[in-house]
Amino acid sequence: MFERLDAASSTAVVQALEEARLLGAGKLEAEHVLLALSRPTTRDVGRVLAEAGLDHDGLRRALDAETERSLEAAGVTLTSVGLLERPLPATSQPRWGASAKRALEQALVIAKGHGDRRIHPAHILLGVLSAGEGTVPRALAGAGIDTAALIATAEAALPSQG
Amino acid sequence: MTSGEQQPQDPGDGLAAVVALRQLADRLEASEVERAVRDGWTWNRIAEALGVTRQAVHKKYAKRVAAGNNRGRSRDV
Repeated sequence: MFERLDAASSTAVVQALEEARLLGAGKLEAEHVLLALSRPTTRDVGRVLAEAGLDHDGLRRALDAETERSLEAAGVTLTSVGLLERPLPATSQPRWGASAKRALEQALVIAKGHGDRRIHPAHILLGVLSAGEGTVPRALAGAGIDTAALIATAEAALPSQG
Repeated sequence: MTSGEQQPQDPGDGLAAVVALRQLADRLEASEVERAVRDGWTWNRIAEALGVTRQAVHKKYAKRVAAGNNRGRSRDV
């Protein structure tokens, strides 16, 4: 699968691991992949996300809000456990989590479906957005993002459409 | 922020709470281990308190705590 990544996608995957590490996460998950895609360096796809209100900061806010809502459902707040500061960055490389693996596998399926030999960042975005459950769909729904519209814009950004 | 009233939950909300709690436990562990080291606790004592081996806790946090110390304790941002 990794040998199918184009240059921009490879950069995005490396960046995703860095996003996970900076957040102190032990595992690379789909939200870290999306955070990497939302960096302006991921040109077309970064723009697609920014236009939907999901630039890097906007996405971070949406993810933080989802965490807070879910903790609240369990009767916990970050203040109640004395955690106000940002998480400490991890010093080791995160392992691949199930949601990130799934997003990349779907990206490959979507690329093949469009007759593209290489995985473009837009394929990865579509792979991430194809998840029905999990942190990303919940965070996007909570932020009032129209996922169907976002998928349509991402499809328009595919190399095979250009 | 919503009030603390009980609301009917769907399984998705409950499962998302589990995910958020796991992440919170990881963050809390990192933060508390760092605090214990700063307060002069040995890795042995921390491991015993967490119910894990000394090797496990040292492997996971020794570098991170050292990196944190190098940042000059500027964690209040």
